[in-house]
Amino acid sequence: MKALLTPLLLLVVLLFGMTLSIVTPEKDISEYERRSLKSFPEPTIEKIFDSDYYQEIEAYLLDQFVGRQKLREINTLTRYYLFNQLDVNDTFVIDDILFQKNNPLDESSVKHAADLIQSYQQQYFSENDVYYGVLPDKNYFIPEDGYYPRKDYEELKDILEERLQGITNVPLSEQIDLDHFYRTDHHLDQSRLTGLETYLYDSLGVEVNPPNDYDTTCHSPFYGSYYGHAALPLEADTLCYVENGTIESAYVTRPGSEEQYPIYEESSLEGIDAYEVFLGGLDPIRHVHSPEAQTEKELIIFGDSFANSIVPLLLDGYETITMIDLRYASETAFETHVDVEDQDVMFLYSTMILNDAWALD
Amino acid sequence: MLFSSITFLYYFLPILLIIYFIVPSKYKNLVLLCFSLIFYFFGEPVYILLLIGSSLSGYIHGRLIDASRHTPYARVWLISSIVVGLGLLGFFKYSNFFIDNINILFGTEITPLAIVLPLGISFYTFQILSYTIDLYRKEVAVQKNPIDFMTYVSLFPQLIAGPIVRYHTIEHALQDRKSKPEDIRVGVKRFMTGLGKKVLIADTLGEIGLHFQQAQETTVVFYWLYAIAFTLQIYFDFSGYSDMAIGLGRIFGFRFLENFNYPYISRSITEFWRRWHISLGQWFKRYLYIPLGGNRVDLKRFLFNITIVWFATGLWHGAAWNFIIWGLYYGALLLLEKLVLRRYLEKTPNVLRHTYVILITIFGMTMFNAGSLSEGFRNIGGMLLLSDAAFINAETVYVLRNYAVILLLAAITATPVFRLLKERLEHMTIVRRGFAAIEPALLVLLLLLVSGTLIDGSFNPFIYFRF
Repeated sequence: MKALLTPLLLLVVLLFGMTLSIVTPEKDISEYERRSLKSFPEPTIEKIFDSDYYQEIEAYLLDQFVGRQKLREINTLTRYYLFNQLDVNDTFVIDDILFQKNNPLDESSVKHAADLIQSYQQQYFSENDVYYGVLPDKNYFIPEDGYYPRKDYEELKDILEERLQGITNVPLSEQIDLDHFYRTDHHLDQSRLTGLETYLYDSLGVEVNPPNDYDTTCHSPFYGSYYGHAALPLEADTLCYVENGTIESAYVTRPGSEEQYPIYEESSLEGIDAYEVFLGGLDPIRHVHSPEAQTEKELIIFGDSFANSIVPLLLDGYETITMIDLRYASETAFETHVDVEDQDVMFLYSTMILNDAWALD
Repeated sequence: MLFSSITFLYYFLPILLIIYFIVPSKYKNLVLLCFSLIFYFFGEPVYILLLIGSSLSGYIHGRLIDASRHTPYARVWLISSIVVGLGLLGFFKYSNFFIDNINILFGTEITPLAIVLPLGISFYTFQILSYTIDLYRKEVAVQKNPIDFMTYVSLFPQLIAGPIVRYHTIEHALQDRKSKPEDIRVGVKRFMTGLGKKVLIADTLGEIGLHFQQAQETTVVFYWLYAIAFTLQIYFDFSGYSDMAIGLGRIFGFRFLENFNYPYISRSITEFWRRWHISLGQWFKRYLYIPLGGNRVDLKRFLFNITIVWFATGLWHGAAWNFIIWGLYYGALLLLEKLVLRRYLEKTPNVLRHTYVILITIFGMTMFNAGSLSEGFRNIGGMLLLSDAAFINAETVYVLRNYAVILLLAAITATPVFRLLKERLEHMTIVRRGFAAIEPALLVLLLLLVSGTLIDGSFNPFIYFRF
């Protein structure tokens, strides 16, 4: 009977896993992975005879398995410490900061983005002051002498400079460092960016008195988008956003609607992606109105999600900021919903987007 | 259903084990049959009818062969069983390959059939044929119980990806078997070993292939890395599956024959094929090569026999020209060894002989792994500096560094080094007792590691499922 010790122990573990997975209430979302979890696929006669249905069941069981996050952590630690791998799920950690492996520089993508910017400038903004700013992604700060792949940022910069002649560059690389990023996410932590607005105002020729201080509101835990990929027992981030009188009085509108939305959509803090607190997340086109702005100037920003946390910092300097995300907004939508007058125009993109710019159209 | 799935590990298997060991002996085959059909149904619901139909065909043909023993009809029923078995296999597996080639050769536009390859059809068809042929040869007794016969054909441990278990091997166990505690322990250990080989090693090595396919730029070193990684992956994938099948069989009281015996330590291709997918090699030898006359014929006929057998071996693996080329490649190498190289190989230092086999295998697996003949030649060309690829780049260095340990671990584990070391250490009583004491904890740890990998990973079907 001694021989049955191992089989019985394993059987107990299997039964334990099965029973606990069955009796544990289903979860709708995984806050760590920032995604919806599968619910049990309802059977129908048609589905029962389709092998895809059983893959759906497996996906459901994987999602709802008891101790899912702990088991994922075991896998990650095995990969790092037993197999000595550099990344797991394309995510790696340096000094408790998470990074995600990026693709090498895609010159054709950067050229595509530059040509698009140039064509907008020539077609719509020939009379405007036009700027472009490139936000370095997190991997820009990876040491160059390691194994981790790093884009050729210099080449990216050269391509843009060559193709965007006539558009004023607002260099941002020197304004950003690794401390400005969340540890578990690719985005910039707005509360650590205060001061950037002064630099931007100077670069765009806006004369305002920037606020001396902001009130900061924080939400914790914030599991960044890399957290779920990494599956490591790391401390979560804290997501903070800054407020002052100008920001509190500001609001967002969307084309075709008079409805006003707050600058910080606090309901998003409890959702899958808390970063959507900034201006309510992604949108093709929206207008940010700042009644207490110190100028009557207006700004058009073509940007990505990185711009969402920067725009609230610029509300003292601009009465209206129109934000356009060319991944979702067509040129026709731009023509329909944006009246081009004498606004300042800024193309503000992260190197991540520029290197994968085929969605910009 | 996959062995390496939560559905199987945490639901199917424990429920089956409890029911199987509770029910009286006379119902055990019925329990295995029902669960085997559920197992198959989860992977291929529609084709379960084909599995049942093929099993019944084998059973009925067996009864007919036995009933017409000593009459010419026995041969007729044997031929009928072969025609039905190979006919179904040919229709489901090779129809579209045939149509594609007709279209290419004659410029026709025949529409390919909308059929999917039924899971495991190559394996269970060969098992059924082993029964009817051996029955005709009077090497096994007729199976009169359809439940027992269908249990043999659809036995889930080896149903989908082998090993190809001859009816003769488990004929007696089907009627009367006992699962002794030590058999269960050994079976569980074997199953867990196979599970670890598949999930922790093979699937991790498979990631190198994904990196290769997604790479913006391939390099000579990356071509080699991809080829070596796949050569190791397929061994750990398939031998891992065989370990799991053999282990599960042992738990239920069956003794399946070994399917792998450290093939990568071979010193000749002839030896390699005695160690790689043994059950398939034995099947072709027993049911094709020997009936054709084997090697006891003149040279011309011998060449013909070898060509036929290795053409069939390649074709069995897949309905594509790269598999046929792969099979003929090995046939040609075996001929070369038998007729020319053998006398030189015997005088060659072992290290060169191992290198020769490893290189031949890597090139062979590169063709085997290719999605098409042209892709196979392109990858081999890349390895042989016949492309414009750079020698190495940063991405290649990264992938190499990222998977260096698992590659090294896999390369060592593909040899019997750890087994021999363990055997040597176990001569010391204290070490033997130590191994025995930590075995349960180690296997539980392995289960947790596998579970973690499965939960974190994606869907990774076994490579041999596609055959």
